[in-house]
Amino acid sequence: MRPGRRAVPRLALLGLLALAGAAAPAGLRSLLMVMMIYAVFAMAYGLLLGHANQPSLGQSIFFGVGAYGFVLPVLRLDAGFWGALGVAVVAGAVTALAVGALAVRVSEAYHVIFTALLASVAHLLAKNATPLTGGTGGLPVEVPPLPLGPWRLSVYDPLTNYLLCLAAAAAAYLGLRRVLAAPLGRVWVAIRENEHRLAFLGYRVYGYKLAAFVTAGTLTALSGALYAIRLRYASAEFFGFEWSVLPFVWGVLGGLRTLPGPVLGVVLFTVFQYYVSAWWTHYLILFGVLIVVILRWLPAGIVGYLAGQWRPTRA
Amino acid sequence: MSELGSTLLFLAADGLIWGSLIALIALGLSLIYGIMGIINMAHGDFFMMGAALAVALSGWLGAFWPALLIAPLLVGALALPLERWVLRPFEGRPLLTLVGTIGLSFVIQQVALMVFGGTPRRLEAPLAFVVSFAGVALPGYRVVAAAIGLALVAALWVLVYRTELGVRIRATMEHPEIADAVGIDTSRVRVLTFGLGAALAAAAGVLAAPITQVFYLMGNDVLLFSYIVVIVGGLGSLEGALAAALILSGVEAVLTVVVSPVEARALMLLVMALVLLVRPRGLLVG
Amino acid sequence: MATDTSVRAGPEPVLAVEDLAVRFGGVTALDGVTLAVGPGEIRAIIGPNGAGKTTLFNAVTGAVRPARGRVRLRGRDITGAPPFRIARLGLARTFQLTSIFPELTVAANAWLGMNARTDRPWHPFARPGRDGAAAARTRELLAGLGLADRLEEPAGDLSHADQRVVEIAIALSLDPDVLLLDEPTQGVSPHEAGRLVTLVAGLAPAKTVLVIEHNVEVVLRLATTVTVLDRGRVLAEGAPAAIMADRRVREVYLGTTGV
Repeated sequence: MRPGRRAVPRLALLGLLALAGAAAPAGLRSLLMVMMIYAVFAMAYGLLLGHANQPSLGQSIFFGVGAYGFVLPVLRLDAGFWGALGVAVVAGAVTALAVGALAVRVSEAYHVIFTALLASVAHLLAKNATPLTGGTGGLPVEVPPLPLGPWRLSVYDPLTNYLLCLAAAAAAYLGLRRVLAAPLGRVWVAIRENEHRLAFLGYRVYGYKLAAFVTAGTLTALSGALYAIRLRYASAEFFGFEWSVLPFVWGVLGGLRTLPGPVLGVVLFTVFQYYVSAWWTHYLILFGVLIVVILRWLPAGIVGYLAGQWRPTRA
Repeated sequence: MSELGSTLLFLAADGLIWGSLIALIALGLSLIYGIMGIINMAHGDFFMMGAALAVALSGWLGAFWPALLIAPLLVGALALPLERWVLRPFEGRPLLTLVGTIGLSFVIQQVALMVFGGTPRRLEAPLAFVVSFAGVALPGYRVVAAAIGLALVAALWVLVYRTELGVRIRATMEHPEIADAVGIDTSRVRVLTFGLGAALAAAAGVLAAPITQVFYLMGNDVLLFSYIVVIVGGLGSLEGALAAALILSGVEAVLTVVVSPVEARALMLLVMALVLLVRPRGLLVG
Repeated sequence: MATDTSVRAGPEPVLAVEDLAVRFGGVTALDGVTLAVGPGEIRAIIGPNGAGKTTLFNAVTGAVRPARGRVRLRGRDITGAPPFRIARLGLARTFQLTSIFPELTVAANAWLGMNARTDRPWHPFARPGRDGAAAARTRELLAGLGLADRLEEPAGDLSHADQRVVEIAIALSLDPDVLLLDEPTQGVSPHEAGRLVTLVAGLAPAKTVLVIEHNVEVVLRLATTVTVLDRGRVLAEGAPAAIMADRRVREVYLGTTGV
């Protein structure tokens, strides 16, 4: 499909979502915002696991780094909005490079445990370093205004905050889409399909996997920063294990082989959490059962299943 | 003995005590991983169930020790339908098993939260004597718990190396295709091993209940540490898992002389991550 | 990087292996194999199961590290070099167990090798698209292999024989000078085998080919020279007809299919 033909429905969707932000009641808008922040996180994970074959359980490291990467410069260095966001993203990239350089070397099964280990270390250290991180109590922050051209916007205006998240999610989606259609992305797909053979074709697979890891880590840090911005707060709990488990669950539920798959997983989970938790605090029980049931019948995830229904031609 | 000396000795002993409990969990895990090749994210929750049941049963029965028999049996029995419904459908697909057991973990943890509430509980030690040696005074219950733990490890060893079931387990673990061909019902062995692993973890939980805080999330810490023990000790090596459990727990405890417990744990995890990088097959193997 | 050249009469060997030994744990898979393949040759490597044929390929392509010996590609020592580097030097291989990219289209399978040859195979933003030099070359290659009408199908959907062709196409897309084919006709009907044989025969003399084969017919039709391996050593080497008549070779094959 020519890019032009896809653009119209996409722009329409974008416009619709923007309008929804303006028109929707506060609760729904907040829910959509959270979904968009998670969507960035989920797509990053889709890249990591769905394409580069890295079942990481350590993405919480980058989520936390992103959150503190934004909050700390604002609190300690009086940084402006874009400066702090830049720091968060760069910090995410650097950390991902450091972790990835080691983690990518390790074979699949051990990779899970290796990343889980590092995530656990990060969590413990974050909880411990209370003067720096505020420990589990966390650090509240006043988010500086957002200069955009001639305007000075403020995330304290819910619509602005919403549009910020929408812009980030859209940019992430479009950016990843572009990369996946380019040689780099196609090699990533090939890694998923038959990593072993690629070395014999002259590819240095380690480098490609590392690139995927760093890209995923950077995007995850972005989502962490957005999350902190939304809550005006960062805590050591952002390094917690659940932030490593959730993207995994979103991805597997929605389907890892396509870009929108994990996003669907996000939508499912967030809606579920939002509505079911209202009438039953222990909604996770239902969700746990749901996971097992969905996986049982749709192991390629929901989008994977749907995608399989009409054979896509991938080239 | 000097003050530092007795502190070190105390910490080391305490670490070894905890290590014998971890060994129970890790051995079960080693068997499960050896036979099923899966990472079971809910294994720590079997441990938690044991501890929670110990608290509950102590309340209802007024005595601690029956829990040591009842809890493992209950948890082991529960593990059997779990294997059928949550593990078997995903056999051969480790990623799905991973997520499936995450779902299972959610369920178990939330049920525990529902039934027992979110505040950590402490159980009174059923024995109130003190064991003194070399200027060190250890709570008697802990020593007894460790002894029981090691006795269970020994019993497991006998099971695996001296009984017919053990032969079948080892055959299925080391040469599954041959085991099948020879007529061993490998699915049955798998289920039994899973149940056994769960029961062992629950037993460790019961023994741990008077030593630590019982909390619906207590399984998570134990999970990671146990997997590391299994890996450092060498996958499928029971002696390795035992040695690793004792050594790693002991070292971690002794480290608290210089750093805080949180830092000690972080340090241990970091070192283990490095070991994984350099010698993924385990330190104590080969 | 070239070290001492091997002393051989005739043209410089494209691929030379000297006293190569490979061990796995306690098992010696290759025990001092020496052979040299000249340019444009089609060399058949035959031998009973477990003789070390695939291990030889693995050692040459960098998949395993030899315990002893040297591998030289056009005089250049590539012993122990990583597979990706050897591939970039112009040596490609196929696998006995079909190793393609099943969910990718046939065209995409072949594209991978082409992409590897460009200067920016890792480009994050270029649009490969359907037009362009690389795409045209891919179509040409696949058309030459008889797959012109299957370009857009997922490779996993093809018949086994066609997949064996894709297997070769992937290796060819690297435009290698030396091609190592591991049992290309494995599991393929006699009719399809004939098609593969014609294909492989056409590759020489532009390329140098080593073929592991069990099928005697194929060997007789294709090979310029045959090397027989047995228990990790070279048992015999020579023209196909002579080798097939050799008593030692027949003894070693007693009980094995193909003789």
